[in-house]
Amino acid sequence: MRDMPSKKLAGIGLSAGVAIGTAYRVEQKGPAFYRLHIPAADVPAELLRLRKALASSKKQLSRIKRRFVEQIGQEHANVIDAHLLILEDRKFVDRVEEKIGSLQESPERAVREVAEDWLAVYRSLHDPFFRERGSDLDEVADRVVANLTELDATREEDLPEDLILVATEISLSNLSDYPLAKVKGLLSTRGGRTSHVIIISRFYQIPVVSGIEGLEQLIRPGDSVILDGTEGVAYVHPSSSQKRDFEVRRQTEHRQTLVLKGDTSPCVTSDGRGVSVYANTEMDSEVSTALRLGAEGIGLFRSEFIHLMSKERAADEEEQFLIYKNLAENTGDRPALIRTLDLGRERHRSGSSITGDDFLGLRGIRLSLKRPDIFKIQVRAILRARAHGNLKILLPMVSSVDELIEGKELIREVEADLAVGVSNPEEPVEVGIMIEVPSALLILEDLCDHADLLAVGTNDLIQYTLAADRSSEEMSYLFNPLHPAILKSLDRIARVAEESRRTTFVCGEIAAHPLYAYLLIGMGFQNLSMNPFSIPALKNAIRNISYAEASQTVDQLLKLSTIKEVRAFVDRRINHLQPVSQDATAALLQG
Amino acid sequence: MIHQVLRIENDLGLHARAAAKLVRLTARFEADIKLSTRSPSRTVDGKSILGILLLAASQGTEVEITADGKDEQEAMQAIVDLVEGRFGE
Repeated sequence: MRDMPSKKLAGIGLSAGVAIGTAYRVEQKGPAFYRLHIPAADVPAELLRLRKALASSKKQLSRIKRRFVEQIGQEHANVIDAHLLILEDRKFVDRVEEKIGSLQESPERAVREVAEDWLAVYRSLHDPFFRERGSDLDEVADRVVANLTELDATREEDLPEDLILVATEISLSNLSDYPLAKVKGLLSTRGGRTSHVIIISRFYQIPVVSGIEGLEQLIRPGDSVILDGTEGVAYVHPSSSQKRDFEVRRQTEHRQTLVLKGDTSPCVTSDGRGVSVYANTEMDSEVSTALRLGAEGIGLFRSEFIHLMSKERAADEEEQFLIYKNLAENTGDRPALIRTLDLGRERHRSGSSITGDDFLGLRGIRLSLKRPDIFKIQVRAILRARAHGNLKILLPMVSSVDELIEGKELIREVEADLAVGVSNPEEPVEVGIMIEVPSALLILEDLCDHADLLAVGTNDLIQYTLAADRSSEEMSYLFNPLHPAILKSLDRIARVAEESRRTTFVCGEIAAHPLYAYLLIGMGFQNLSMNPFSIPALKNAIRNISYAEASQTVDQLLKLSTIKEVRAFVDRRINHLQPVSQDATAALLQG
Repeated sequence: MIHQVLRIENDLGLHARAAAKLVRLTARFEADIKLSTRSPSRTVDGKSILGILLLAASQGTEVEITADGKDEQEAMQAIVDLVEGRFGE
């Protein structure tokens, strides 16, 4: 049999990256044709069919809700809650039953008509949040209609492993009907009904191509498809050489959004507030990649890896010096913040001369002060390498002013030693502290008197503030950046930092998430540091953020006292966070 | 039949979760319950989530509650408690 000719479809990319897979149609509107009228004798049977469809819809939504909670987080699961409540709304269901019973309409028609009646009113609302609830109703109606004809009977295990979901329009609950691990890409005529889909796709680095008309004719279920979300094109029936080429590209990109392009232009919010984006790394060899991706420096260089790589003992001075020198040469004038050794629970290394204690024990600056010999070797290596670039020192786990003063004294001692002979910059090295212990937060003003800069380690700060082990599953409900205590802590750091004019970096994983970046920027933070591969997408997200709006949002959020309220508030605002504007898409495509 | 005007005081207004709480509460009473706003003038069923969301009642909106039926007093009191307690948020 001859191969089908390869077809190229041009659209717009809404989420970057390459996907290769099997087309799978998402049924959106149910069957195009259904009976309009039913004979009077069929009314009881049709009412029963309706009730069954409502029951299956509830079952599916409950399953989806569970999956959301597990895979994406509680915030998005709330969207599904609204859907469940609509299914239970007597005003809706009674009217549908009435149309079936007295007007002898088919259940499919009755559901759509009643939904349309409500939708017409919802569309007239001014408040976008409430108007959006209409699309929830639309999705629910689609689901019920699909269940009436049992279109949704596909079982998960029968699905191919490399799904490319194809639909006129893909909704969040559509996406969640499929196991996220199997969804490799999305192809649609229109962008998501709500930008939830796009946000989640970007977050999970699922490529999305949209804006292609007539997909039903162009692609059949089971067709082999290549999606290029970076360029905004799709290939149906790709040739084997195309497949090979894209497979290479896919592997190279390894789902690292926009890796190929990077984004080295400066980053300002839509209302002109500058935000600098830095990379967190632990190897000097990652630095050039980080800079190419758009990092404006290294916000956090974790030095533990160097030691763990070193064979038997702590890395010696020369070994460390070469790494820091390479780091300094690569970053040049841009800042690179080296965090001194912070072996903790996660980095425990048995048989080593350095062993991290439990996370409430001897780690970070505590260990350094206990073993000044090891600490001074590292400091010496950093200070020598400083001649080649703009290196700064970060002290981890500082919980008292005393520790900071002692740590700085050791650093100044090394500085004094080095001044003789070795080329050493005149200015003393800037010494900053990691803010990750709640006590540091309480004495932040005093710490600022002695620290040149601050870096917030959000993961540890959350863990220590809430006394919740972040690796514990039972604690995951509490380990939440949206906890009012965490929001208030972060906000306090931003305020004190501004008052004391200390440059402050946020280095935790949350800085890479558009939602949290939005909140951090709203609080006043202007230096975010993250995994290098998140930088291009985050820069793009930041350009769509209005600082004025974010700061208002934060003001309102800070008034809320429960996690629940915060989540509800965030749910309501999340659509503002990453508007999928045509301009942004165009800018991405032009690179 | 009894009436009472209540001001929505919680930050998010009668948003999805507040509306859900209200629906779950009103469903417990026999009395007919209606919610009305003046501008735009709109009256909806107090037992319908679709209806309540349609009020698009944000913080500060005044909503007139009407309860009509055997347990109207209890129903009204429960609604007042919920709204004045800012939906337990």
